[in-house]
Amino acid sequence: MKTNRNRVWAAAAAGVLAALGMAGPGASGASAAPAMWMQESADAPDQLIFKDGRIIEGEVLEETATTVRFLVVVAGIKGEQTYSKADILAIERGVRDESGKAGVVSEEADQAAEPSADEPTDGAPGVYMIELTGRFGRDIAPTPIRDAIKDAAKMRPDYLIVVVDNAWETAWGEKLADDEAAAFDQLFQTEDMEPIFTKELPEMLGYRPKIVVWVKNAMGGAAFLPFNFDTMYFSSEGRIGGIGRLEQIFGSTGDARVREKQFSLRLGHARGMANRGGYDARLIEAMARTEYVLSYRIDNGKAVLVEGAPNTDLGEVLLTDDGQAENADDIKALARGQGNDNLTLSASIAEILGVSQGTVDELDDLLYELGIDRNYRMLDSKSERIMKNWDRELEGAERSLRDLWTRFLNVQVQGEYRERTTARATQMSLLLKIKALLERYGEVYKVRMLRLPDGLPPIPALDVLHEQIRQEQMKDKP
Amino acid sequence: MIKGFMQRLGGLAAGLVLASVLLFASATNAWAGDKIYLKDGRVIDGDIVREVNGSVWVNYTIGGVEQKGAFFGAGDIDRIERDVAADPAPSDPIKPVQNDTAPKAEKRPGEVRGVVITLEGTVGIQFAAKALEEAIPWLEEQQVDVVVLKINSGGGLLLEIAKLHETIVNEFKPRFRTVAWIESAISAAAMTSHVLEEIYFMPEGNYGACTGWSGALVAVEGRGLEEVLYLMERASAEGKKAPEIMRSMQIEEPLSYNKSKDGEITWYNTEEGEFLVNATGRILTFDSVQAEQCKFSKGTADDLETLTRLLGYPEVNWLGKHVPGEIFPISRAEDGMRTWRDGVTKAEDNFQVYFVKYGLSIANAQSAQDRASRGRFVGEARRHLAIIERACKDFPNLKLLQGLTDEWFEQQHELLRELMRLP
Repeated sequence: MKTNRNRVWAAAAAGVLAALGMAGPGASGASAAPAMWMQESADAPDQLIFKDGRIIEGEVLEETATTVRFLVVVAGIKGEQTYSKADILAIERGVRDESGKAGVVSEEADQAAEPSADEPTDGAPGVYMIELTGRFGRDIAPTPIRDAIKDAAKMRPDYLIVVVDNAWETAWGEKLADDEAAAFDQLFQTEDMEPIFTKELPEMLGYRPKIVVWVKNAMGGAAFLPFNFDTMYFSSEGRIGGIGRLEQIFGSTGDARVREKQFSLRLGHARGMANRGGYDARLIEAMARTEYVLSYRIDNGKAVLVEGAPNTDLGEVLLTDDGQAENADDIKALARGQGNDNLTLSASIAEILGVSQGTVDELDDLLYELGIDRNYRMLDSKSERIMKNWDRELEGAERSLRDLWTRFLNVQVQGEYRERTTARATQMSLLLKIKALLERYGEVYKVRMLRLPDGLPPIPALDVLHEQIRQEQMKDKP
Repeated sequence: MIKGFMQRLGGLAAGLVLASVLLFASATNAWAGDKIYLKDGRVIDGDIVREVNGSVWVNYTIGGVEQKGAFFGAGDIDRIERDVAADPAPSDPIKPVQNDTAPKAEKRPGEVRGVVITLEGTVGIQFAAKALEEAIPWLEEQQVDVVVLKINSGGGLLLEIAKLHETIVNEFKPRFRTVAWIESAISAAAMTSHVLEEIYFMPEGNYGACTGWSGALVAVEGRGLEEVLYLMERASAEGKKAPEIMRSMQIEEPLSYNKSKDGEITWYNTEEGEFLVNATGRILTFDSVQAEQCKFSKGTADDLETLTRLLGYPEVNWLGKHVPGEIFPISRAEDGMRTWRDGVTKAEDNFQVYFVKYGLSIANAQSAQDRASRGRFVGEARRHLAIIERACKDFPNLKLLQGLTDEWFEQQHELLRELMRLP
C-alpha cells in the first residue's frame, strides 16, 4: 500500500508542479538521453519515467520536492544528472526487484533485519511484541501498525503480544474524562486497524500466530481493539472503556427513530468485534448505552451475564444501572472512575467476567501465564522504533504545516509583473506542499488528530485557493 | 413470477417520495475500451499494456507492423475506451504476460467454479447495479456456478435498491447460485441483500438499521414509509424471510421468536416470543451470533475455506489471482468492480472543486476587459465544464445528486458562446 501511495504521490506532485510550470533549480530533463542500465550489482535499478515516454534506469540519489538527483549508467560510464520533477511522470524504485522492494521510499520495515540469525534450534516459540501507545487515531494509526506488522511477519512469530496503552486525551494533550461522550465513533478507526492483525498478518505469514492483547489502558476507540482477539490479559491498572453515552452523540438532532437507527448500526459494528473475539456482545451494550442495565452472577465458577437489575437472592451483582434520576452517576463517582451508568472494565471485573484471562504487570508474568516462560525467543521487534518514527514524522509534518502556512500568509503579491508572477508561483507552490502533507498523513488528518495551524482551510478549499491564484495570474497577464 | 415481482418493485420504486432517492442510470464500463482517442484526432486501436497517471503504453499495429509499448502522454489523450475483455492495465513496468486469472481449460466434470465480488461504498454510488450487471458476461463465459456477493456498506440511496433487486433476482439468481457474505450490511445494503435466500456472515458481520431518512436525521414518514415497508415485504418474500425481521430493522417494532423442538422458528413483532432480539423502541441490527441463532444466517465464515464448507462443497475452484493481503482470489469480475469504485469515488471527490473552478472562470471571464483575456477564461471554463460533463456521463448518479440537467449544460455552453461574442 505504501509503495503504491508513494509512487502515485511522486507522480502526482510532479504532475502538479508541471501544471504550474515550476521547474526546480538544476532542472535538466531536456538534456537527458535514453540510457541503458548496466547492472553491476545485484540491486535492481530505479526508473524515471518521463512525460514524453522516455524511461531512464539507474539509481535515485536524492529526491526533493522539485528535483531528482539520479545516477545514470550508460555503457558502463556513470554520471549524475538532476532532473526536474516537472518532466517526470513517475519514479519507480527497484523495478526489477520481485521481492517487494519496488517503490518503497525510506520504509522503516525495509530497514528491519531479515529473520533473526538465532533461528529456533529447539522449537522455542518466537514472541514479537508491539506496544500501541500514545493517542488513538494519531500515534496509534494504521500506517505504523501495518509497518510493525510487516516487521513482525519477517520474524515469523508464534506469538504476537499487542500491548494497548493509549493516552486518553485529545490531539492537543487535554485529558478526557472516562464518561466522555462522542468517543464511540472512534470505532470506525479501529475497523481500519483490526484487519491488519486479523487478515493481513495471517495472509503474509500463511498461518495465524497466537495474538495476545495486554490491556494497560484501552479507552475510546482503543477500547474496541482488544475485543477482536480471544486472548486478553490486563495489567493491574488496566481498563477498557470511554465509549459510553452513545445515546448523546447526536443530541436532540432529528427524529428519535433515525437516532435509534444510528445507535443500532454503531452497536452492530461494535458487537461484531466482540463476536470476532468470542466475547458476550452485551458487554459492548453495557459500555455504550446508559439506559442498558446489566448484571452478572457466578454459576459453577463462571460468570453469567443477566440483562436487567440483579436478583440478589440469586447472588447477582449489578454491573451497570440505567443512569436515570437517582441512578445517575454523581460527580464523586465520575471523578474516581467509579460510575456505573456505563461499564468500564477494570482488571478485576474483566477477570471475574472471563474477559481477561489474568492480571499481569510484567512481561515475564505474561509469558508464564501463556506457558512459554521457560522456552521462548523474544524476537527483535522494530515496532517501538517504527512507532517513534511515526510520531516524529507527524510532529515534523505539523512543524512544516505551520511554517508553510505562515510563509503563505506572508507572501506579498506586489511590484512588477515578474515579481507578482514569482510571488504567486510561491503561493501556489506552498499550497501544493501543504496539500501534499495533509494527504500524506490523511489517516490522522481525517480524524482531526493532526494539529493544524490556525486558519488552515481543508483540502478542497486549498484547491480552490490555488485555482483563484492561478486565475489571478491569468488576469494579470499583460 | 420473478419478472412480475420485479415489475411491481419497479412501479413501487417510481412512486417513492424521498428527498435522497435517486435512480441509477448507465455508467461507463470499467473495462470498456482499448481505443485511445488522441487530441489530434487519431484513434489508436490496441492493447494498453501499462498505465501510469493517465499516460499509457500501447501495443498496436500500423499497416500490419506491430508497434510494441508505444507511449502516449496523458496530455495528448482525449479519452480512452477500454476493451471489455481485458484486465485494467497495470501501472507496473511491462513484464512478460503472466497467467490469466481465469482458467482457460474446459470445466472438469464435477468442478464447481466460484467467484467473490465485493459490493462496498455507498449504495447507488460505488455499490451499483450497473457495475454488477457488467460482470455477467465474463461470469457466464467462465461457467461460474457460485457468486458470493461480499457486502461491506453503510447504506446509501433508496431507489438504487429496486435496481439492485432487479439485477440480483432477474439476472444473477437464474444464472448462478448467488449468496451474500456479510461483513457489514447497513440500511440500503441490508435491504439489497434481503432478496437472497442464502446469507452468510463474517464473525464481525452486522446487518440491519434500515430506517429511511434524509437531511438532519429526519425519518421517512407517511406514504413514503408505507411504500418502503411494502417494498421490503416483497423483498422478504423473494428472499424467503419472515417479514417481521425487516420490519424491526425499519421501524421501532420489537422482534422475538419461539423455536420449536424441530428447530422451526416463529417470529413476532412483539416481545411475546421466548427469545427477544429487538426490544420495543429500538431498531434492529443483527450481529453474526444473533443471526445464526435464529437461522437468519446460514452460518458464519471468516475465510473462504469455511465458506466453501458452509456452502456444502468439498471444493470450489475460486477463480482469480491470489493477491497478498486479500482473503479471496481477485477475479476479473472483482477487478472490474474495484475499478468502477475507484473511478466513481475519484469523480465524486473532485466534483465540488471543479464546480468552484468553473464558477471562478466564468466570473473572471465576465469581468474581463478585453476579448483576449476573456477568451483565456472562457477556455478555462470550458475545460472545467468538460470535466464535470465527463463525470456526469460516466457516473450519471452524480449528475442527479447535484441536480444537474442537460438543460443546465446547454445553458452553460450558450453562456460561454455569448461571452465570446462580446467585443
